[in-house]
Amino acid sequence: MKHLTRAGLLLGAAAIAFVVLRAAILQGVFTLDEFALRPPDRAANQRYWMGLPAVYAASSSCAGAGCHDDIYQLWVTSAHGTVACENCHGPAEAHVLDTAVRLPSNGSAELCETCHAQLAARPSSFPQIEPAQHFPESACVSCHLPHRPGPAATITHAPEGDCLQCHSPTNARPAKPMPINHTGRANDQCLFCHEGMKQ
Amino acid sequence: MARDDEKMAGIDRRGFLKLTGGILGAAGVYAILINVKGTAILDIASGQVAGDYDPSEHYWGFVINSHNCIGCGKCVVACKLENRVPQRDDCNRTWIERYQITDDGQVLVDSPQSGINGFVGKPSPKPSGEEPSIDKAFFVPKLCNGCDNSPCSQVCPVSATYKTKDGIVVVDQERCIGCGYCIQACPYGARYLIPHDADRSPTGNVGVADKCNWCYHRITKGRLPACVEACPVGARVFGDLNDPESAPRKIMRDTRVAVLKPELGTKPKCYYVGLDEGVR
Amino acid sequence: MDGFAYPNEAQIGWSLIVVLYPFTTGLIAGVFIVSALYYVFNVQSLKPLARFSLVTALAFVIVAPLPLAIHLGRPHRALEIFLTPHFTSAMAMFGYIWIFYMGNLMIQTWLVFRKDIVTYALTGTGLRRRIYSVMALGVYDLSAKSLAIDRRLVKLSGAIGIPTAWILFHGYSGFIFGSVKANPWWSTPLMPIIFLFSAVVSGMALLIVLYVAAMAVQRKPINHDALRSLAGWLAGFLAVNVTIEVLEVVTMMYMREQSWETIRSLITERLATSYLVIQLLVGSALPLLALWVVTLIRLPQRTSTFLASAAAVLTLVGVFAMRWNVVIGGQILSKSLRGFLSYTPEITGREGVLVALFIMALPFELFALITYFIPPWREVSVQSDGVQLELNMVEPDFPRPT
Repeated sequence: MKHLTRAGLLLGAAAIAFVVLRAAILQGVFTLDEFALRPPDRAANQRYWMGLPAVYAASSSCAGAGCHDDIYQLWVTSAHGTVACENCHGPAEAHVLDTAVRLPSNGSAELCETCHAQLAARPSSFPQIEPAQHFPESACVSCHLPHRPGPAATITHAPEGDCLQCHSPTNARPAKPMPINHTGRANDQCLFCHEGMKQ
Repeated sequence: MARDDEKMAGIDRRGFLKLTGGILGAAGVYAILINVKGTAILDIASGQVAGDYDPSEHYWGFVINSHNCIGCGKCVVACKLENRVPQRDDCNRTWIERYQITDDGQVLVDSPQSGINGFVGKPSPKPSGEEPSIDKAFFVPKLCNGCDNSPCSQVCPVSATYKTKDGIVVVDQERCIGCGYCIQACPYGARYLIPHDADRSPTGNVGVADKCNWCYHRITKGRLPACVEACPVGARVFGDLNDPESAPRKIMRDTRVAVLKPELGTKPKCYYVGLDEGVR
Repeated sequence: MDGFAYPNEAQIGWSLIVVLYPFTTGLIAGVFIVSALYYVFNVQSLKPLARFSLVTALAFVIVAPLPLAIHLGRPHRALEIFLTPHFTSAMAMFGYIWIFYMGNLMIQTWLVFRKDIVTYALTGTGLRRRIYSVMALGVYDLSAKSLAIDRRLVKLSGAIGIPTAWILFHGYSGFIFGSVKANPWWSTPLMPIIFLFSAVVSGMALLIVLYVAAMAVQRKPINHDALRSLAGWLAGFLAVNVTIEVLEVVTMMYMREQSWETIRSLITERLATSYLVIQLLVGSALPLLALWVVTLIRLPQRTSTFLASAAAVLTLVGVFAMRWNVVIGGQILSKSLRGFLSYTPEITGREGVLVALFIMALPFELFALITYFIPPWREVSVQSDGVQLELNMVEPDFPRPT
C-alpha cells in the first residue's frame, strides 16, 4: 500500500530527526541557548547558587584589632549583645571588604520602637515601653547607649557641683568614667537620667 | 570493467551498504540511548559540585522558636537585601505572621507588608469593625520549610527545581519556564514568581519562580543564613541535623517541636517551638 | 485581600488564559469521542457527524499549546518540556502527549479524507491540483483494498486516540489540579473524572453548536436524527457530570474537614454567581432539562434543533464556568484557610480578555481553513470495477442518483 509506505516513511523520518536532534542537544553537540536547549547541568547551577556574594557580614566581623573592637567589647556582653550590628547599621560585607565604604548610623526613635514599642503579641518578658508615655520628647539614645543599653546607673552619692570634676575621663583622679556616648553632653544633663528619673 | 570498479576501494557495493547501514544503525542506537538516559543526567553525584564543600556531609535544618519572636521584622529586611528579593509585598522569601486570639476565640492573623517594617503602628484586623479584645497573641516567622518530600520539586515540569544532597530545595532560574505549578503546590505559600517589572532579582532572571533557599551561598561557606544573623532574640536557629550537638538538634532534644501541616506528608525540616492550635 | 492570606498568595499566577487551556483540551477530547463513537464503536446514528468532529478536533488541537505558551513567565524556554520533562510532574506530560495525539489525529483525518483528497487532486487543476497532490503524498490509489486498509487503520487510530485524548491529553489536566494536596478546593481523586466528563459534555455541545451553525451558513439541511442522537449522548454525559460534581461538594460538606468552613464561604459567597448560578443552574440543570425534552419527546424539528442548540450553548457556558471556578476559585482561596483574594482579568495585556478572545477565535478560523480544503459535509463516494474509477460527489442525506 504505497500511500501507507510513504506516510510511514515520512513519520519515520520525522521521528528519527527528532531523536537525533534531541540526542545532539543533550550531548551539547547542538545548542540553542536562547531557547534553553542545552545539556542540563545541575551541578553547575548548584555551584552558581553557592557562589553568590554575601551582603551581610556577621557581628563577629566587626570585632578585632584595627576594627571596632572597643565598641564590640562594650556591646557583646550588653543587653544588646544578641542584636546584630547590621540591624542598625545596615549590611556590612561591602565595608568589611573595603573600609572606604561607609555605613550609616541610625539613632532614631523609630528604629528603637520597631523592637521596643509595646505590642500585645510580644512576650511579656521582653522589655517594651509605650512610646507616648516614655519620655516622648527625648531621643532614646540620650539615656540608652545603643551599644550598652539599660537604665542609667544609680548614683550612690549626693550630687555635688560639677560631675565632670570627678567623672571626666581626662581627670587625673578619675572616678567611674563615662561611657562613650556621654561625650559632648552638657553637665546639667547628668542628673536628668542619674537622679531617680527612671521608669 | 564494472566489477573491478566496484571493487576498487576494496569494498564492493553490498559491503558498502552493509557498512553504512551498520554505522547508521549504531548511531541510531546511540541516539536512542542518549534520549533514554536523558534526564538521568540531572542527578548529581556527591563531590561533583565544587571545591571543598561536600553536600552529602551535611543535612541542614531550621528551628523556629515562636516564643521568642518579637515581630521586629529585621529578618525580612536582611533577607530581602541579602538575596536581592524584589521589594514588592507579594514577593517574599520569608515573612512574619501575627496571631491574635480574641476573648471569644476568634483567631486574627495579619502580616502587614510581610512584617518588613515590624508591627508597630500597624492596626489589628477588625472583623467586627471594633477594636478586638485580645486574649493571647504571638508572632510566627515563616520561610521555606525545606521539605524532605517536597511537593514543589515533584511538580516542576522541566526539572528546574530540585533538592540538593544537603537537603535544600533550589530553583535553577536559568531553566525555570515560569509555569507557576510549584507555587500552587507549596502548602506553605513559600514560593513566588519574580514579576517582569521587578526592581531586582536574585539571579537577574524575571518571570521565574523563587523561594528561600536557606541562604545556600552562606551556609555552604560555614556562615549562617542572613535572617538567623539578623534575629535579635534567637527565634531562628539553623544548623546541621546530621550533627547531634548542633543547635537545632539540641533544641529538638530539650523541648517539644512540631511542623506545619504534618498531615500533608511533606516532612519539613523546619521545626517550630511554640506553635499554637490555630497556626497554619 | 479579605481576611488573611500568605503574602505571596497575592500573586494570582494562573489567569484567564490558563482557564482556557483545560477548556480547549476538554473540547478536543469531547469532540474526538463523538468521532470515536462512530469509527470505533460503530454508533451509526452519529455517522453524519463523524467527519465533522474529526476536523473540529484537529482545528482545536493545533491551537492547544497557545494558552500555555502565552502564560509562561519564560515562554521561549517552553521547548524544555521536550528536552527534560520531569516524570513526576503531571504537567510534563503535555509535550509528548500533545505531539503524539496530534500526530494520531492527523493520521486519522488523513486516512478518513484520503479519498476526498485524491479525488480533488485528480479532478483539480493548477495550484489546487498540486496542493491536493502533496496532501495525497503523490499516491492516487483508491482501490477497494486500499480503502479497506484505510478503514481498519482508522479504527485502530481511533481506538488509540480514545485513551490518548480522553485520559492522557485531558485527564492529565484534571490530575494536575486533583493531585495538589496543598489546595483543598483542588485536591480530590475525583478531579480527573470530573474533568473527563465535563470535557465530553463540552465537546458534544460544541459539535451541536458548530454543526447547526455550519449547516445554517452553508444553507444545507441538518440531519435531525444525528442531532437528536448527539443530544441524547450529551444528556447522558451531562447527567453523570453533574452528579459527580455535586457529589464532590456534598461529600466535603458531610465530612466537614478543617477546610470546609473556608470552602463553604468560597462557594456561597465568592463563587456564588459563577458556581451556583452559572455552572450548576444555567450551565447544567437547565440544559439537562432541555436535552431530556429533546430526546424523549418528539418535537417539530425546528423546535428540537433550537432547544438542542440553546442547551448546547448553555452547556458550553457552564463548562467554561466550571474551568473558571476550579482554576480561579482555587487561587482566590488562601491556603491558610483564613481568607480570600480577588481576581479580575485585565482587558488588555498579555493575559487579558482580548488575548483570550483571540485565542478562542483561532480554532474556528483554523476550522474554516481546514474545511475549505477538506469539507466534511461533501462526501466523495468511490466505485471501482477494476478498470475505471467512478467518482461521485454526494451531498449527505440526499439519496444517491440511480
